Amino acid sequence: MKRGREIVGIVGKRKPDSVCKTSQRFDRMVNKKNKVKGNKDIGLSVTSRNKEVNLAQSETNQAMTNEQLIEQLTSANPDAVVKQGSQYPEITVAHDKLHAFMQNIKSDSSLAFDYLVCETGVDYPEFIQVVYHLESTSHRHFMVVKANTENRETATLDTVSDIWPTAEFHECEIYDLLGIRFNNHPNLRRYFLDDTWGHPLRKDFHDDIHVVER
Amino acid sequence: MAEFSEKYIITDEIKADEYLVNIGPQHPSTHGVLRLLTRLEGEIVHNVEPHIGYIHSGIEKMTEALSYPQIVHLTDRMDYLSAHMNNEAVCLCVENALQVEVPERVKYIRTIFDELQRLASHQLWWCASGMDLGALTAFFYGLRDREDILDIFEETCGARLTLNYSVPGGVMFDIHPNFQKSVKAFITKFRKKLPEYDKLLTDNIIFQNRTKGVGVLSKEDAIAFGVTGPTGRASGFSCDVRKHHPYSAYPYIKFDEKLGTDGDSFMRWKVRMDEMWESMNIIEQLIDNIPEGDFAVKMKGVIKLPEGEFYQRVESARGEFGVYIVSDGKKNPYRVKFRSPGFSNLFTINHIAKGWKIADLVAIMATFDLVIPDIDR
Amino acid sequence: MKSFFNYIAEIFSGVWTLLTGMKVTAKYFFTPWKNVTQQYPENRDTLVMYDRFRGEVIMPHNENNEHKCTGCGLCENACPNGSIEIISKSIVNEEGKKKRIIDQHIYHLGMCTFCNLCVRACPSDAIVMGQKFEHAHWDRSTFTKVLNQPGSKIMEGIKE
Ligand code: SF4
Ligand code: SF4
Repeated sequence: MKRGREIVGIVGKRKPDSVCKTSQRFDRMVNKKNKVKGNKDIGLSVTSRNKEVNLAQSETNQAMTNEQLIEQLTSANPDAVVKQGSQYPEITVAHDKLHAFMQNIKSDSSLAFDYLVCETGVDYPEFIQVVYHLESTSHRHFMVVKANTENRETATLDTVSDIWPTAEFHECEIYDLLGIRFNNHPNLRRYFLDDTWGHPLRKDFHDDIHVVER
Repeated sequence: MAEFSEKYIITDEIKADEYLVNIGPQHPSTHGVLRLLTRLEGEIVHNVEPHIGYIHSGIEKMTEALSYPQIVHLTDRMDYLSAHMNNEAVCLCVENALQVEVPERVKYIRTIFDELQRLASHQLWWCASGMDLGALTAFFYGLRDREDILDIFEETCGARLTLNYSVPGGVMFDIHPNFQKSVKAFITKFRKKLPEYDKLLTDNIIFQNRTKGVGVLSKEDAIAFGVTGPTGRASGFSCDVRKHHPYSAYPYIKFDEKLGTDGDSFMRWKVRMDEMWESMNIIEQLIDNIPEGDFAVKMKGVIKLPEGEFYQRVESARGEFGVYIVSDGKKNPYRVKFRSPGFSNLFTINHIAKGWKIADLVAIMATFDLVIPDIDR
Repeated sequence: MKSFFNYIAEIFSGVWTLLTGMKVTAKYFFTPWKNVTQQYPENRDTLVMYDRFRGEVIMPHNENNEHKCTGCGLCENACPNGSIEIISKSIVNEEGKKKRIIDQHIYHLGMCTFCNLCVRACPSDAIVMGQKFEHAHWDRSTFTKVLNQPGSKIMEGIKE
């Protein structure tokens, strides 16, 4: 079995230092060790951290404003509904175009929505809506994508778990609580409840035994 | 058990030399009622499948029948170790929706409470994961120092764990006259105690050998799996909501986002240890400058949100906590979703624990800092 | 050969770091007055809770057995768990007018989450949070309490 573990060198005796922070202690430890063993590939050095933060901040500057984002999304998806929501740009995508659209906004380098923050199902009278909160870790802009199922009875939607792996688990949760079946999902199972339950977050869910209504 | 395993093992066939072991639901190292269905070959983990839902409390369903101040009190029960951050998230969301500007004093108090809560949470994480890795002494040292923070909480808001201190529009009580004094006393004391933590565990070679290089999560995977908080930052994923989307008093203060490079268990450990120092710095910047003023704005007796959808993110002790409220203009929300950090973090475990030994799985879980009610909601 | 030296070095450094940790524990072992353990329940007589401590909901009465509760029911509405029930009755006062007053303010301690919302909601400050925290009991029925004492009246001058 491959183990990425190396024998750690001598830590040695250090002077007691009352305001010695963990990181500093550790930096010193690593530096010392690197010197002793000439071992560069431990990679635990913390000096590159600040660089990375600066990088993240400089990238932030390229973030699109909400207006630019809306403009670009509207021109690229003429049949989708794009509007400025109460906080973030919101786009409603047709359910059959969802997967292609999602793939596009992740791979497009000017959008690069690579972080799926949250996936929510909301039950409305005619359809069930799935809301995706997306953020780009390089540009730091934020967007909300919505997709409606065709109807409530046979609610299906394409999975996005091949685009963002975290969606796999959020989709299981939505399936459990709202009963949306996700096409092509690798392992759609109920997380919280067993099969004797309905889908409790639907508005027409009634349970006389477990739910006391006031 | 038989029908259970038949129904739930959907992954591929079990090979001849593999066997299935249930870790949990009642296992000390799962920190609650979490069941990890592990496929093992000897001691080597081939597959981990987390089964959750043992303490699913239906909070999202319950909120649909409650008013907004009542929802705040329910969020304590999810991630009980970052109760105040959860309370604050709902309050901020409601305030945003109503366009209420809270007084500066409230922002400062909330931020100090956030950081105290983060310290308390990390202390408990430190001692509990020390215990997971076989260091029982650590447990008592962590709880000893956490007690001081809980006393501060109790003095100001009357509760130790389920604070319910933030309310829409402000905080529930003004800070106790002793608050500043006791916080400062705590910081001075804890600055002396924190190096003890290092001496006890972090510097220990046995401990380091158990955690270094174990369970590496790359930055790309952290982003793809939505792993946030100290766990994600250890992989180099800059995901601190306090930095990128500042709320409350975070825009006014200077602090570093602690980023790691490796993403192994030791780095996750170290990022949290560093965050404790950083939290103390933040508190010290704020504690002397709490502005005078009201501790809450007057809200209507019945809070009704305008129609629409509102999302608020805060940084809880475990990562990004989000509240998504869909309102239809009534006094109860139409739908509330809590984006809990633990839920996203937990499911990477299969990805990174593959190929490691059972004892390493425990080390990985310990440094993930899981709180099960947060995952189940 | 090199790995052998590393192995030996690791053993020594392992022992050394172990001793460093044990120095910390030994410090507390030999200075027991620095320990912080409270001897509960032996210290029950001297144990003082913080004055804001939320232990239970109580309704203070003055020496004439009078309370401030008007029976408005706002606390009942504010409670998220339904742990308060207000039973009011109507009486005819001296001037011959009908008036609703509180009959029983029922408080289910077993359902209470000590969230303080009822105390916040009360317009006349009739209920406050008490300091008692040792609620464990053999029988669940003792958790249902009537907060207004038998025969108590509403205080003079409380607005409705
Ligand atoms: S403290 Fe909270 S739960 Fe208890 S009675 Fe008052 S409102 Fe209800
Ligand atoms: S306790 Fe207060 S809120 Fe409750 S019924 Fe009496 S006066 Fe009204």
